[in-house]
Parts: sequence; C-alpha cells; structure tokens
Amino acid sequence: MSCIEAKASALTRRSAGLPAMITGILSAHPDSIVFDNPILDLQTIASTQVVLAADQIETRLPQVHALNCLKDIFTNSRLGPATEPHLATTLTIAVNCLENNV
Amino acid sequence: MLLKALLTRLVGGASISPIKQHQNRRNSSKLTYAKYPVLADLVVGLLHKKGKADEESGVTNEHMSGTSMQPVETVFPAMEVIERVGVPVDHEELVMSLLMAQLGSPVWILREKAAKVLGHIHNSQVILDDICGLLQNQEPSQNALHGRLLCLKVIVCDRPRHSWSELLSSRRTIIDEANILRR
Repeated sequence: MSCIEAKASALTRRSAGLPAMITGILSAHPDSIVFDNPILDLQTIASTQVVLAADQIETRLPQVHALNCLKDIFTNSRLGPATEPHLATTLTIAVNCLENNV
Repeated sequence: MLLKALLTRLVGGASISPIKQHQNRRNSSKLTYAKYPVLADLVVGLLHKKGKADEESGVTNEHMSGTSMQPVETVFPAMEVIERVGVPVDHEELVMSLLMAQLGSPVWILREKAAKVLGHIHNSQVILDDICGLLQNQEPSQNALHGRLLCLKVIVCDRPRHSWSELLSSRRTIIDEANILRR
C-alpha cells in the first residue's frame, strides 16, 4: 500500500507492476483471514476525493493505482470466490469514479 | 476499465446471438439482480446521470447537449448491462422510459445502443403493439425519429423471416402505417 502512495505521481495507464505485485501476494493466501484488509484499503484509496491544486507541480493520483489493482484482483480467477463479498462495493466505487473530472 | 471488468465478471463478456440472448435473458435477469441487489440501483442511477455541464445549465436528460460526453460513459455501460441481463423487475417502468428517452439522444452511438437494447428486450407477445407504438408516436426531433427507426430495424431483423408471415397476415395495418411514414 505504501508503494501506491509513494508512486502516486508516477502515473501510467496500467500502473506498471503494482497490480501484478498485489495480485501475486494475495494469490498466495486467498483464504487467509487477512485477505479482506488489502481489498478494503484499496477501496478506501480508490474512493478518496480527487483534489487537484492549480499550483501543483506534479499530480498525485493514488486512486489510479488503486483502481488498477482492484481491476487485476477482481479479474483473477484464483481470487474469484474470495473477492465475491467485495464485488458490490467495488462496483459502486467504479460507478462513482465515472463522475470525476480527471 | 474497472467498471467494464466488473460488469464482464457479472454478466459475461462474450457476445452471443440476439436470439439466444433473448432466450436466456428472462431466466438470468432475476438471478443476477437478486444476487446483486445493488446492480439494479446502479443501472438506474447510471441511466439517470447527467454530465456536469448539463447539470450546471439545467439541461434535462431528454435535451442533453451534444457536447456533454460524460453521459455516454455512464449511460453506455448501463445499457450494456440491460442488454445482457435484462431490465430490473422492480424498476421496469422507469428503466423502459429512460431507455426510450435515449432513443432521442443527440449522440448517435447512444441512440443506436438504446435501439439495440430495446429491440432485443421486447416481449415477443406484444411485438406488434410495440411496433405500432413506435410508428404512431409523432416525435418532433429527427434524432428521436432515427432512434425509433433503428429500434424497428432491430425488432424486424431479430425475428426469423418465416414468423413474420403469420404475424403480418393478421395485422395488415402495420404495413400501411409504415408506408405512410415512408411518404
């Protein structure tokens, strides 16, 4: 999660290796009791209000990385059953993100 | 991309024939909306969404400006869900009215998609009444007329040719009304 915040200004279309890294870690223990925490953290980051200051030299959008990570997690077949309880919330977040100007 | 991925996971991504879609839709509709209650509300919400520019200027969904692109990104996924899963039963009347409004959208692709969705989800028992309804209502805008004709085209092409002979023999008036519209 700290990588997402650290690389928030390094915006790439698919967030380079971040989604693969998180998906790989979660795939190791999909039935683990702590599986839900990363999902909830990613949902929180993705839901964060986008604030763009006019005088900012660089644009920080950790939401982009979080959304890309969530996409990879929810499209991974190994994590299908484990992600089922979070599907509705993530769907709502994805819809709400459509309203962003960025 | 996340929304598309999630919708693909929910309702499938492979395109299937319109006839098979119609056969499967009634059974799968209840299953998916019952399993994910939030999906129905999301679909209605997406169809209702207006672009920021339209909200500021007070433009309604029926009179969206052509420069407002955001509704395309919200309305289109909603129509894709409805096309694959069907209309949510609890919001059937509202969704149908919102889809009919999209037939008059100033954006071509929305008119086309709405026509395709409406054409595929029509109830075959009342197909002739649907066609009469589309032909009889006089819409002032060319966009709305285009949308309705697109919908008619989908309805007509969706059914096998041999099934039309039985329908047309008993409902001659449909052809008469189509000829009047062509003039």
